[in-house]
Amino acid sequence: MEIKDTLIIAKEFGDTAGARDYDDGDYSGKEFYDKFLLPRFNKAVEGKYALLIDIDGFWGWPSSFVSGSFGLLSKEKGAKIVLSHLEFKCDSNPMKIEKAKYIINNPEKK
Amino acid sequence: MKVFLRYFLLPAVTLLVGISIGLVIRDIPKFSMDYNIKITDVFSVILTFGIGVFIPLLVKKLIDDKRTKNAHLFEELSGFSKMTENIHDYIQDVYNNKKILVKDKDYINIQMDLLGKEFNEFHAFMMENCPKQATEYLNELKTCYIEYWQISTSIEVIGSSIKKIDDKTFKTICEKYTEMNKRIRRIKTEIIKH
Repeated sequence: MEIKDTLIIAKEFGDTAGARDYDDGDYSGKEFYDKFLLPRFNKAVEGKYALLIDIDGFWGWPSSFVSGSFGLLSKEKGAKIVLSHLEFKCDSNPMKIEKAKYIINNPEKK
Repeated sequence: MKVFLRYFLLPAVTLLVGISIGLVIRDIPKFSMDYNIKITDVFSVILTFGIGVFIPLLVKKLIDDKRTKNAHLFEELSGFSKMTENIHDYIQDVYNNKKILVKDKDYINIQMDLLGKEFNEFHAFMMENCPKQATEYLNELKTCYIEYWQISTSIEVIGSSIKKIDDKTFKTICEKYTEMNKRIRRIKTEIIKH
């Protein structure tokens, strides 16, 4: 699928990952989900294109943040559709991509 | 009579037996020397000598190379193991203190991020250099590592309302840590076997 939009997390959202929910403080996974991920993902699905998630420059990658954003998206929309409309980029630490994909594929697991 | 036997008959019989044996074995083995040497014989001798020296050296080099390669692989495994152990010890200390502060959460977060970077390099190196039989365990190790990261940076550890790591979460962290070490040992076994 063609990439027509890029979400640079460090530039648009913030350069530091928080925890899962709003209660856990700033830059939570849920905040990222509500304000950036879900709207951009929905547009990508409607426009039938892929959204590139650029993780480079984003400090930390706790599972609570990833499950609060990508895990939640997977629970809501299903892993298959999420993975077909999302592409990831993280040259500095490609393991972050593996982790995100693992959470998307296993959103229920802790 | 005894004197005759001891000093005359016995030496005479011994002498005759010796001469007889000498006559029999005189032509054994039976071969003749040809003092004309062909140039191919010279090469053949040099080649035989070369092979005699080269093969043991080659075998020794192959053994040394394998030993060095295995030593590098073990070093990589130990390096990753040590990094994991340091983080796990820190988490264990936090659990034992029955108190987790914001700086502890940040530290765990940073260290897990760095470990992820390290794991990426380590995994690529091992996949390239390990025997094929270890590939399955390397993939399992990746899953175990992700599960370890998942529980160690979960909301139960770094959530803002969390004041200590509870027993259940710590038990799961320890289980995942053990699973990782189990895979590391299996990879070591495969390296030794091949």
